[in-house]
Amino acid sequence: MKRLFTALPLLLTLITFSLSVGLARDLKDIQREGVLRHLGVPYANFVAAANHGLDVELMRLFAEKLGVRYEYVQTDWKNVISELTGKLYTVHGNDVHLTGSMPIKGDVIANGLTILPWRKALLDYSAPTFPTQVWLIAAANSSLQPITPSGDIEKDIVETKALLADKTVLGISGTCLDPQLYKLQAVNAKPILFAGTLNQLAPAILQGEADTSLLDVADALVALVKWPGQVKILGPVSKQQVMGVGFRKESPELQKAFAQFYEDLKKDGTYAALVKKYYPDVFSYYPHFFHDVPPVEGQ
Amino acid sequence: MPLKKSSSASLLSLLALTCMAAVISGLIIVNYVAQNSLHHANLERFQQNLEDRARSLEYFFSERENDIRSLAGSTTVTSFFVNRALGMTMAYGLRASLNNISRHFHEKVENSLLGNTAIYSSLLLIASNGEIMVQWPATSSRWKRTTTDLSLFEKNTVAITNQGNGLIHFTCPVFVNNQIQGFVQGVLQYRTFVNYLLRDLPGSLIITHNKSIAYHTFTRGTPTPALFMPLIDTHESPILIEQPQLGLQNSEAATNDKSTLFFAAIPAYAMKLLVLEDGSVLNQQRSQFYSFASLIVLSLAAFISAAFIFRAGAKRLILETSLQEANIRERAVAEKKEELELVLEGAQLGTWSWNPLDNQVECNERYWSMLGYSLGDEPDHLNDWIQLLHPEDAEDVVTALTSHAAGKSPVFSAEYRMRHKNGTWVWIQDIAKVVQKDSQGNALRAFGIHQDITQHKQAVALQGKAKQESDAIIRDFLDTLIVVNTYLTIIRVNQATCDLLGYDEKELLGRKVTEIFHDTPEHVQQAFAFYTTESEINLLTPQERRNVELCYRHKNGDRLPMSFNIKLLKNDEGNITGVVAGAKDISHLRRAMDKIGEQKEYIETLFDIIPSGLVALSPELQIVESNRAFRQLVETWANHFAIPVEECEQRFIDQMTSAQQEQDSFTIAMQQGHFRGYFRCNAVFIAVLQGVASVMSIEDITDERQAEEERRLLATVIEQTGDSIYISSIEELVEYVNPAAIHNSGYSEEELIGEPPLIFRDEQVDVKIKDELRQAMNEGKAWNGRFNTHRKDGTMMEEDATVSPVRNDAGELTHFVAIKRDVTELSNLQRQLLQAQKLEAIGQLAAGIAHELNTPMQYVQNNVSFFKQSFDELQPLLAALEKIEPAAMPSPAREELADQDLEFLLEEVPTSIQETLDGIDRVAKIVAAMKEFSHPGVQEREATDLNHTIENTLIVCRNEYKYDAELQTDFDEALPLVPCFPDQFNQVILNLIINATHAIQMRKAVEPELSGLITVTTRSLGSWVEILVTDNGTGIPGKVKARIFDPFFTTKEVGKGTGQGLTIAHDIMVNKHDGEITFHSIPGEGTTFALRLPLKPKQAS
Repeated sequence: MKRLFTALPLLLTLITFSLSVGLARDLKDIQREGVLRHLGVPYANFVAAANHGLDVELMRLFAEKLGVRYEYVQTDWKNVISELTGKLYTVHGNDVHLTGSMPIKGDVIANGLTILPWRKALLDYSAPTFPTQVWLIAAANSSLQPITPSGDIEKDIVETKALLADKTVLGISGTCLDPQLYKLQAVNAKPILFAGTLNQLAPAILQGEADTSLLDVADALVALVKWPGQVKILGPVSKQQVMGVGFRKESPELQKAFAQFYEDLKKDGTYAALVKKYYPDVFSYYPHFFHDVPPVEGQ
Repeated sequence: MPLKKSSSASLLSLLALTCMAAVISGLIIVNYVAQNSLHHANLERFQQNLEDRARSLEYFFSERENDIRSLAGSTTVTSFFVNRALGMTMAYGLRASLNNISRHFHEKVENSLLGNTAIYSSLLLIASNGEIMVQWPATSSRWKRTTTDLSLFEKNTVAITNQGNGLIHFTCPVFVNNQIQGFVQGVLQYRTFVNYLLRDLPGSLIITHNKSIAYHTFTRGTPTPALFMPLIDTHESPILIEQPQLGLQNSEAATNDKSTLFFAAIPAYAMKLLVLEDGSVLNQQRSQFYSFASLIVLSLAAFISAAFIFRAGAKRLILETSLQEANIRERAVAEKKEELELVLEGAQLGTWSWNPLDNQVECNERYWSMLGYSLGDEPDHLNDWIQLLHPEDAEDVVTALTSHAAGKSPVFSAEYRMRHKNGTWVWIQDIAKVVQKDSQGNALRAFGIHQDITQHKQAVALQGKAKQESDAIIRDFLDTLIVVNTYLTIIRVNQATCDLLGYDEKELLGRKVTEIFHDTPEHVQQAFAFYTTESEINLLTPQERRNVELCYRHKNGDRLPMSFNIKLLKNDEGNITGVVAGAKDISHLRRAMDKIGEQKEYIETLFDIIPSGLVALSPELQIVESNRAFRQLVETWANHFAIPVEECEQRFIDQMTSAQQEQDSFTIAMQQGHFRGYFRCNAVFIAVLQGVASVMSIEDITDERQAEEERRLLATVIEQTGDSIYISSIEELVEYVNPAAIHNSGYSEEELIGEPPLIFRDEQVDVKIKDELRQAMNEGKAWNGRFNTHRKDGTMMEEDATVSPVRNDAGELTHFVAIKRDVTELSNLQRQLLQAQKLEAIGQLAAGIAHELNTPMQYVQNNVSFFKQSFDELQPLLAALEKIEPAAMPSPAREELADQDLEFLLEEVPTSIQETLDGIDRVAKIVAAMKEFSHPGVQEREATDLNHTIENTLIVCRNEYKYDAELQTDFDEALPLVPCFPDQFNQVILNLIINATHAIQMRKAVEPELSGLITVTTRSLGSWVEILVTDNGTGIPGKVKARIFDPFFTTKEVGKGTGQGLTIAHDIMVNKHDGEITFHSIPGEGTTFALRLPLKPKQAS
């Protein structure tokens, strides 16, 4: 309390500051200021490094198309949406409650952002850019056995979830791997909210931090290559999901510009080449998703 | 003599011919032997070559074995089977493993090349059941079973199989958990490696594997292994072989019946490499012998013919030779003469000849042309010639010439001037010598060469003039200038130097240059003889040294710092003769440099004491300079990140240079593990100066950022807290309010800021509280308390407040902060609770009283009943007594009976007893109703007969209404049991009846004749039941209808209502029972409250 009182005289200044920074920008503002700020969270091969990754290249090309400079703004899953929208919020299931505001730091989110209902309440999405699905993984020495695919995804999901009875499962709050999204308590699973990053889930399973973990397909494929024979995929816990590029609801023109850019990119084969570069396996897993993308040589 | 000579020559010729014949024969024999050896060597070389190729092939196969074995054991391949063994399915993960293998195979195929050709035509992963899982390059055969016989394979080996279709397969089993799970197979085309490894082999090629033909290059038919394999098993390579032995119908060579078969084994792979060459290779030996014999015969014939030809032509040859020699000599003389003419012509030389006896002079044409004369008009006498001499030179020339003619000098040589025909003077260089003398030694003829050297003389004159000018320049040069020879001796010096050093010129000339400098002799020598050092000699242009700093020594010993430019001096031959050194006084420059040095030191010191990190970068982004703060910052964070300092420094530079491309002022963040640092940077770009392209400052703002985040958190907390926060100055004027304060008070920010706090503005706040608060503020103490104040809309608000003084670092009082919490609702709840507790206590008391009353009432009732019964029994007796004549009675009885009004008693006592019993019965009912009414509350809803419970309540509260109103009930007898909390529902009915009574009382106050009426109706509405309480009281005015359920809202006079009744009723009906409470009221006519309860409440379901 004493600290609170001594800090009080500064409050007015701080409040004024917080109101004056990071105003929401749309296409015209971005073009006038000459920079597109790409909010990214290091994740799988979407954002692997500041100048590397599927979404990094996608945004670089977008900035080039707009004729502005590209700027990468690294953030984390906890803050990425707030730093785009300037809104603080809490999520309960699919309900979102706004709790305050914060400075805006970027113009667009592109890092394998899964399109989820609660996120739609906060931001607008582009057309789907990448397919995904949430799988359940375990260490190779786990007693849990992968399910036998039935050909019906609904049945597969039920069968996979049934494996989780009395088992611990890792997930990350505020992401597509949030256990709340998949009603795992109904099968008596024991969710553990993981404090690390998405990329650290598979190693955590190998180190025995939990019986199982949720993992999206993109990361699961990377894990299979990184730790061959050490992890196993048990089955799906979600239907096919899609990822997209996130925009502020106050940036409709920017979103429109991206929609045209994305269409052009798909038509001229550039997008397929980018996907093949970072996720060569995804074409065989989701042929339907890429049916309108011209094939790449060797695909 | 001629005959002797002929015979001797013939013998010699014959001997020579014999020797030649012997030599040629020997050579032919040697050639034959050499050819023979060469033939064998060729065979051996061919065989060796074939064996080398076989070894190459063997090595090539072993490499392929390693390839396939490596692939089969690779993690990429085995992980597929491991994943499959783990139960993973193609739909969920397993396909990724196959894709990885496919990529792995792809890379292997693309990286395994022979020249530009891929070694493998395909790589396959085959399941143990023979199904092809992966094939790269993919073909239409995908997912069909391979034709490979898998039974061939043994553990840990690479099996090589041939399909006879030009393909060879290398197959290796994949072991997982010590069991064969599948196979990796590499398919190669023979043509690929044959073209590369076995190219240039002549003839036709056969490769056998396990005694079968795996590959051959015969275009017509296929050799039969059964025919030739026994031969190569029992013979050494090469062998002659006939066509039928190969099993071929038509010969490939077709030029010979026999062919040579070379072969080499590749035992490690049970393979043999065969090359079929045509027959001439081995038959070459025989043909060489025939050619040898023919050559001998032809040689002999050729030598005999040559001998005859040689003999006939020898004499003619000698004559021709002599004639040729004479011609050669003649031509040589002519050529020499021509050469001399050319030399004279080329050198522009004139010639003259003088006869001393007659003084006649003969000169050639060029001589006279030098002087402008042509042949014909030239002087031909010495005297005339002397007339042409320059008067200043004539005597010397004549003296020298006569002296030479007299034999006093070996040669006449002179340079003199002669008059040109046009009157100008021509410089002549003359060299002459007496070439003929008589027997007494007198000169008979002298010959001389005459050359025009006018141009040379003019050049020398010009040179002398230039030298004078340069001397003048040196002398008059404003800066010091000295010329030093190669012995480091001063040979020239100008006046400026003399003036500077305090010497005169003579004192300096001839001195060693090292003596006039303070610098060491070695240093001076190095400067003035720089051309002698090896490194300078190696330079391409060691012509000068610039900006050499040396310090002159004044005659009086003073130091004179100078900057020298030293340049080489060379003579016409290009030889170094010394150096010329010009110097400038740089003492002022040195002082300036010293000052700059001091400033630099000052800047460096400043650089180091600046608290921010500074780093100067080269255009290549290398660190040129950094200050102490930067280095300390890097070390600190290297320790935090647990990485080497160099790596940490590079990370900083990378981040800064990456960020500064976008803007000059920026913030970077670096993270490693749990450590995260923030740094504010500024970059300044400068034109490249001393290797520095940019200077960047960096400041560790991690603490500041964290503090900022904390402050932001505090600000957020204050902004979002539900408590009202006011900050006011010591003058009691509000300077800050948070959103909660605005919300709770109803005032805008503008209405609050700059004004006294609300507590002082609200006149209804207790003065005593204001005084207490003001006193605490005056004393600089904290105060807390609770008070009522008003919102802007006039509603009352009860607040708990804490007012604390805020002091600055010096302890001076600067502000007051008040944190207030709106406790209106809490207070209401507390009052409700208190009321409920009070009611509960009263209920418990009433229940106790009812219980206590019940027992005496029982025996009172029993006794009165006994009285009634007894009196009934006594009544006939008393009636009989009354009929007895008084006279008939004894005296006491007659008197007593006369005192009693027996008739009256008989009439009134039964009535009184009956009324008593009725009263007792009524009391018993009230007691029972009170007991039931005050029954302790239940935790769960229970099915309740509402008619019954309402009836009980009406009994209990009858005293409330009985004097003012009649109460009628209209109960639905078929009302179902309703799940509810009976005690709470009773409370609602009680409150409504009391309110109805009060409304009737108020109306009766103005309408005394009014007959009050309260009606309670129950009825069923399907899944709901409804209870209506209607009165004919005053009704509810329209303006207060919206507020009747608000806490403490009442229109009753003071002391009659708490304003809680309807609030509680609303709470019980809506919140506790999921029901409804509504009302319909006409002012002046009455009010009807409708209570509705669900038969299936939500919370219960």
